[in-house]
Amino acid sequence: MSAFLRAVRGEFYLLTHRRSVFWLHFGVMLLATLFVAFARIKLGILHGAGGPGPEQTGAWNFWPQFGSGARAGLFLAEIGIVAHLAGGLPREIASGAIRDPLSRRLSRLHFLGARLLVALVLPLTLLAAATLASAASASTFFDAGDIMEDGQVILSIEDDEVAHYLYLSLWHAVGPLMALGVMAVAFGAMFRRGAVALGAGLTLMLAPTLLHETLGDRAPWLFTDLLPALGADSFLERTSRFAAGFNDAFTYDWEESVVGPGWYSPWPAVLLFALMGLFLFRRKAL
Amino acid sequence: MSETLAASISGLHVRLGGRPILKGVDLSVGRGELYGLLGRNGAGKTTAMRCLLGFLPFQQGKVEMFGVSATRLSRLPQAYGIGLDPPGMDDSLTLRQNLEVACIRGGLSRQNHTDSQGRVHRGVDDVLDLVGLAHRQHNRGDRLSHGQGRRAAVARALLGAPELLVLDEPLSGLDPEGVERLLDLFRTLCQDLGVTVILSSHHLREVEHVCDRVGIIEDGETLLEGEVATLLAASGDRLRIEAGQADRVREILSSAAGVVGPPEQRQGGFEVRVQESFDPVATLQKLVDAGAEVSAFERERASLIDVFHQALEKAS
Repeated sequence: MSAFLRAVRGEFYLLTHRRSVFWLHFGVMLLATLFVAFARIKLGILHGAGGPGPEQTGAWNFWPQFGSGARAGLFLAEIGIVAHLAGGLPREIASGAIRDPLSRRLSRLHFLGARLLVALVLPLTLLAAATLASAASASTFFDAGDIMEDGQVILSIEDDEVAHYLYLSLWHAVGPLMALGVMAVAFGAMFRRGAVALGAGLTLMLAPTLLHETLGDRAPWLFTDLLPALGADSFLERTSRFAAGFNDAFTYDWEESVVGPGWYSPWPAVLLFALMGLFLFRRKAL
Repeated sequence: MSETLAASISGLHVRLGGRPILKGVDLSVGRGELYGLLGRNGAGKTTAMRCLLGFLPFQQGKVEMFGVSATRLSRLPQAYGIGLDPPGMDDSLTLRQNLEVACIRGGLSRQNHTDSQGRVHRGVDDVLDLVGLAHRQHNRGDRLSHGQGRRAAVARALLGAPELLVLDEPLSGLDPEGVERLLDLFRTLCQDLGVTVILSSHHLREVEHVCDRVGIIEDGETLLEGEVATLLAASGDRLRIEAGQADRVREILSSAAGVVGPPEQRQGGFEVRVQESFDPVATLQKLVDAGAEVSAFERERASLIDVFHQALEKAS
């Protein structure tokens, strides 16, 4: 078996056996489920107090709740990705756990390459966890018909492509989430202290939100701007609002100026951070 | 020369944060040797081991394992096991899982097996038994005591069929039974299987009994290296005499054959180092003849502790 394959198998063993990874997935699913459940409770209370009921407002529908629930789970997923992957390497270096794999005829390149691969996979499993939990919860509490307001269909799931846009926005989240994972590993390779690596990761993650005005039209070129939960230009947030019947969710050129670059902007970042991580780890004192 | 060496370090200089840590370390470990690396805390033992294993970049020197540069150890055909300080257990995994992931990364079977060359490859259960931790295999890394963590690191190093073990203070924090168990294990590995073991330790008495050769590092430099028996012989035994007439005793001891250095006055008597050629009977006779009223005349065998202290004294 090649050295890289051994390293990858080792990383996947850790991914499937570490309790922190299990609890992170559990937390993401729980948050997505609870968010939808609380939305249902809140709508029920409002309806009981004379507010709108089913078929009277878009919020009483599976599709917007599915999108919002998934986004709620992804809040924790994004923070968890940075915390788990940025803090991982410094923690392993401090505890000496990193030395044994490197004494098993694995080069540093193999080891970090395998870790970077996990940084691409972990966001996918967390995205899947959030999506599945949200779908299960939303289908339990809400019906999935057309979007209605005051008894009138305002959005047709098929004709207005509501489901298509929601699925597209989840697919759109893959790139930024993967780039976030690779960035976190690179920061872990850069800094000796896990807290510093985590701080740097969170800072870059929140930078587009904090500097949105300054960055202007260039914001979508920074992949963290497009993160589905914490990104200032979250496609998932827009599609969830659109599915709830807010017809101002998309401005006329938003799709071209934000969603368009979002399909490409994370990948140069993935490459850049991967190369940066490999370069920094190559000669790091362990 | 390098073909007979399992590990060699020559002229090793390391600076960390602009501060010189190693200032000329030279060590050579033959294949199948049990080698003790000695030195005070902060002397540079762990740093030298980290350089040997390719974990620490160095500024100057040559570091090789089985003739392969420390910077290219992933290409080394021989397997080796390590147990440095800290032991490096993943706290979020159980001890057994820690060993299993090491097997996966090393491409090793988790079960015992014998390869085509007749070498026994140890699996997870076997190494746990060898270090006496089978009953702790389902404990997480952070639930192991300090001593158990050390033994766990040794267990992980033993997985497969390593030809070299590099162990940093493997005896630290162990109970006497644990120390004895590990030293027996190291001795057996060396004698029966030809495994080379490099261990650093502050347990000088134990090292003296099991190690073939030792190296002493102080303040980032190698002070002394050699076979334990040779170093002990060169160090000389300690002779302790309690007697009256101090001037006469000093005179007789100074002129006696086989006495190394001047006699040192201690409480109630003298202490002096003597070599194999020293004749105790003749010296005692001379002291008695001189009316020195000898009340104690004891010869203590030289120990590694003496060798260690002498080396440090010389260096200072």
